[in-house]
Amino acid sequence: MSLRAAFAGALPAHRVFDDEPTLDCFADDLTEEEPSRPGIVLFPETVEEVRAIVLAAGRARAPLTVRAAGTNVAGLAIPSPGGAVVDLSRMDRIVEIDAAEMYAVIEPGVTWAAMKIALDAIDPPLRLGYPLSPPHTGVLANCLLDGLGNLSLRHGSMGEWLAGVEAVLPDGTIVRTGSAAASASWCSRGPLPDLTGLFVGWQGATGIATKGAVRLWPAPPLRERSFILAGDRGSAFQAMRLLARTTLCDDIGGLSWPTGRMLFGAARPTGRDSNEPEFFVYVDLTAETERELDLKRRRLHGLLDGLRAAGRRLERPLPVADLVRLEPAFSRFADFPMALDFLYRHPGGGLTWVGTYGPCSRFEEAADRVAPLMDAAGFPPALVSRPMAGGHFGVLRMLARFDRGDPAERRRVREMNRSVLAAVLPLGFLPYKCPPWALPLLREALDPGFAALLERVRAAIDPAGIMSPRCWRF
Amino acid sequence: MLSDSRRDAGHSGPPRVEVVDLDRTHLAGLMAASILRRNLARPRGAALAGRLRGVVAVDAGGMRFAIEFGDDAVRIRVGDCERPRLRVRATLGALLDAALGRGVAVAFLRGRLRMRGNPLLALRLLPLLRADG
Repeated sequence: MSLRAAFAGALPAHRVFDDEPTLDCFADDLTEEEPSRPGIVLFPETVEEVRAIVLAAGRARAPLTVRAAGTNVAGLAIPSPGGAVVDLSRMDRIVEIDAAEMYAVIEPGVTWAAMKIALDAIDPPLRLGYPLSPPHTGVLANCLLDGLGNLSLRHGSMGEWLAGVEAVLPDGTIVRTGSAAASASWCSRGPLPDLTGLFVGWQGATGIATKGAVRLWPAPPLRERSFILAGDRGSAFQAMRLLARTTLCDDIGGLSWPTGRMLFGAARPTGRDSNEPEFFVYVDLTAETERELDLKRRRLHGLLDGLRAAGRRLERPLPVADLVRLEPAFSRFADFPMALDFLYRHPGGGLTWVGTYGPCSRFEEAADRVAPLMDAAGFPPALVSRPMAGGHFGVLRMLARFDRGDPAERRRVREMNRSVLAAVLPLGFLPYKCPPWALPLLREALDPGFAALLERVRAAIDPAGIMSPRCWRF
Repeated sequence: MLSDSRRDAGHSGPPRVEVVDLDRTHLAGLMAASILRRNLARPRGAALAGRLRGVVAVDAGGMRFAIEFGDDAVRIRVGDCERPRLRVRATLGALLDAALGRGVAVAFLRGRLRMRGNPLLALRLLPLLRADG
């Protein structure tokens, strides 16, 4: 039976595509991963249609790959060859914003840009943390993949921001988790057993989330972002760790020198001047009043003075408004959601990274290991880091822009990514949004009991193995 | 010596700003190029740059680069240069402040910003390196 016939009746024919140009569009992403063309692309608009798709896929043994914006840089949106892509971008309703309990129930197609518009209209204002990914990408997908955002220093990774989900299981069961499992309110993830976690970090292998409740937080009226130029990465990491342990900042992060140069149009920055700042540390302060903001500024300056006195190479904080005056391209860092389009809009068009969560105390060690590997592969050491959850752990990302049209370069990037991950895994840096290529490396580090439980859970929920077959398969 | 050679040579339009070897250019050079590019896109800045010739050597907190005012373009080149008409040496913070139009006099007095060479050139150059010049 053809895939079109298998999915006939699951959703209207005008939202089913199996023509060559459409299939080609869904075969690839920004990364170095090899393209893989699906056999059909489906655009459901309701949970009932998602259910019908899942049941039809089960009958036809057709593998399903779910996507929202398709911009994931771990290759997770690349489908199984000949399988079905379930594109959730048309499920884009903000179902509810409960300002009293501070959460929003959203469908998977809701973007960061749409959330920003919706939240800006609320009084008193509420906010959501925004990632570095483009404004047109999906909120729920990022939460389910346990990404991170500008409130991750305060509130941890985005998987923790979910108070519950509605999901369609591979057998067609529709399930609600969190407090919504037993009430009309999506306000809390507990106290029932945490089945929301069954969908966080699983990359769609346990079901298709059709709704999610995302936590919101009060938005202080005053916000100030500053950049601190750090002479070396050790100074930057030390500052980030110190500031993370205070309650001073909403966000702290760092970008290494190649990222800064890329902003100015350098295609492949090379040859860092020994006097050039190695890291840009950014710090967000928020406050209810000018006086509070001023006190926070003074405290920040005091902490930085202390670090300088201890020999750390840190310039004084430069408000982002000043940086924008110096270089208008810095406006990309001024507001949320940020549009860091210079990372993927370049000749060659490729963007990849090894993204890891790990111990902040080992940032230096990890950076010392990966920088020479990237350099040897012909890529500048573009590092992005941020302490999270009050400094309990942090993210360290190793970015590379590359020429997707050059097979040799794609191969080189692939090899570099593997060597970079192999170098930081023993330090406790684990891949988030774990790409399929990383699984063999991760498997070696995994507790055998964990790996077995993962496979047992998956097999119990999806015995036919139709959900996200490229993900979490050891 | 300041000359009008560019106007004499019959060039029209604002002088372009080129970064020699963009991928090797450090942050200070890139920032200077960006500011110059914006200032030279304005009539006043273009007129000012059109009358400048020669090389200015800049040391921004140890990051060295040259600004070459030529007939056809203004070029930024990383590294040191011999016999510039003007040498500017400053801490990175002082140069950023100067670009933002803050504390130039204080920076001079405190020795955080130093210039050696043609003072007239310095006077004409400074507005071109101001972010809101």
